[in-house]
Amino acid sequence: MSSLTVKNERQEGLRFLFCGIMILLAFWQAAAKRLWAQSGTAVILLAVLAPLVCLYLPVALYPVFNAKKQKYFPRLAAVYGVNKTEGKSVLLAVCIGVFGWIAAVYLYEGIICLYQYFSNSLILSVGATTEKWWLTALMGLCYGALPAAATELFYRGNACFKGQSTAELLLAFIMPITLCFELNAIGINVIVGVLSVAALIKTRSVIPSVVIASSFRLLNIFPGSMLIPPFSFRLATSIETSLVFGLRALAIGAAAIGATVICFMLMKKGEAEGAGNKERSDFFWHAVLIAFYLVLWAVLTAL
Amino acid sequence: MKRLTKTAIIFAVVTVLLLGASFAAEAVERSRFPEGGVYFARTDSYYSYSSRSLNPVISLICFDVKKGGALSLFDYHEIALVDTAGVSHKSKDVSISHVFTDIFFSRLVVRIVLDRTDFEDNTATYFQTVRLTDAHGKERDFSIGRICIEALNAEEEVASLSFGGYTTGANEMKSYNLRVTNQKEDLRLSRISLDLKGITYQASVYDEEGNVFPLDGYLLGKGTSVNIVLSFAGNTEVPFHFIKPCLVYERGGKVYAASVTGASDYISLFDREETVKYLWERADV
Repeated sequence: MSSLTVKNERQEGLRFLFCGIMILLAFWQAAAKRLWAQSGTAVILLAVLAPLVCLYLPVALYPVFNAKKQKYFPRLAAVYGVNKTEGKSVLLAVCIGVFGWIAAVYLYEGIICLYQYFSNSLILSVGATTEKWWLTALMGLCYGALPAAATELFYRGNACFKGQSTAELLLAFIMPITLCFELNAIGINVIVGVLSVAALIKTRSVIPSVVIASSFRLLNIFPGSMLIPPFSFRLATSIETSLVFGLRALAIGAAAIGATVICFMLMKKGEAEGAGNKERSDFFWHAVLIAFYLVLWAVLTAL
Repeated sequence: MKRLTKTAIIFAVVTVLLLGASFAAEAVERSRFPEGGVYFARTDSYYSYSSRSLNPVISLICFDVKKGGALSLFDYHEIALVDTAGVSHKSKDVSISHVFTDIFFSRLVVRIVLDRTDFEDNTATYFQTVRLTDAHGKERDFSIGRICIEALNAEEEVASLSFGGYTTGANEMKSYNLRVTNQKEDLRLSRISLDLKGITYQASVYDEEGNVFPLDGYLLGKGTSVNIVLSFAGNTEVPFHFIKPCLVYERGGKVYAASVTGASDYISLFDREETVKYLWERADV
């Protein structure tokens, strides 16, 4: 493959990538707005699963369609500006970011829903999150620091990220979007996104982005801020449903943590193993990962 | 790597356990409710319409118990009120609003607009049944207690009385206040028309100085205002009442009637435990 071809493929891939990101942004925004108006499960599925499908499936299906990998994978790798092995690591890191985000959000929701149940008060039904500083601080921690820490861990732990601007941009895009998802104002999303990307490129570290995005999240401490109660709170309209949705939210969180761990395993295996039975092993763990993914899907559908 | 595998397995087990616990909690709460489906609350209500230009709007309280895949209110295609003579009055329009909803039940207010021309002047029509028709045309009747719609002809007296304010709602059916102003010549108040099955009432007039008079025979001068107070007694334990009373008066030897512009609701059932108990009572009927 000539350098010119690779360059063209990278440009084409980048266009495809950014189109995809814009579509995901649209999904997210639509979901946020619909959730604000008490939407149904379908929108939640779109909001959470569409990004997972777009980001995860190329990697998950790669070993399954092994015969065609020579045709498609170089193009996919070119999209992210890395070679085959590095490309898998990048995508797995992205998966970790997304799964980490889901885990953090739903663990937070589960804790608060169960708190509602055991305290016998619908503390979130009247927008009380803005009046309870500890709730907002917990939300800031779960929504901001935990997913970002997961991303940072893999950013630092994988050599493939070093000097890969496309991968950085990808990470930089994913993280602020997930962090700012609940802020129902695209203006703030853009501001935080731009600031986070700028900080990431300038410092070559995720930490400043984490600080920026988490700071915006913690601004919700002040009354009148644009806080949208997340998924389970919208559904937990009574004490009785708080218990049901609290447990389900914790289940989603646990499944997402499991998926994160499997992503971590896949990444480690990719780095450590050479040839031999690697692809068979990959296939097994990808199947396990898909199983986790299906559990998430089932729980979200049940919600 | 083994440690990671163990961790993944632990979280898979935790996921399954939490899911099992959530479904068990859901099943326990769902078992507290009676059979799934639509439950209409029984009301003792009265609506008067003295104007031919207004169509009657009837409010019903409905509970949707979400259990066993039963049909919900929204699965039905048509709704009609059936009077005691067996005549079905189809709705001209329907609006449904949620008062409360969770995954176990919903409480709804169904407002049904009927056709005023279906009601003859100076007659009262009684309804005890609401009829729902599903997508296959199958009809199902539900008891709604007793609703009286009284149509009155007051065409000769336009804008004679104005109502400055009235009780819009309360938890307990103890009293009803109405402020009345006479816009034209002197008139003599006669009575309040309010046909409720188990409720009696005493009507008093409070003038601007706070003096109390009996309603019947009170002379209301031109341009003057009074407050009419109804004190209720009797079976006020029915938790759902909607009333839209009518003031009957005499002027120049003729009897006229003027309906209050809006309906008042007396709803005392709010608590979840009370609602579950009420639904079981309705299910046992």
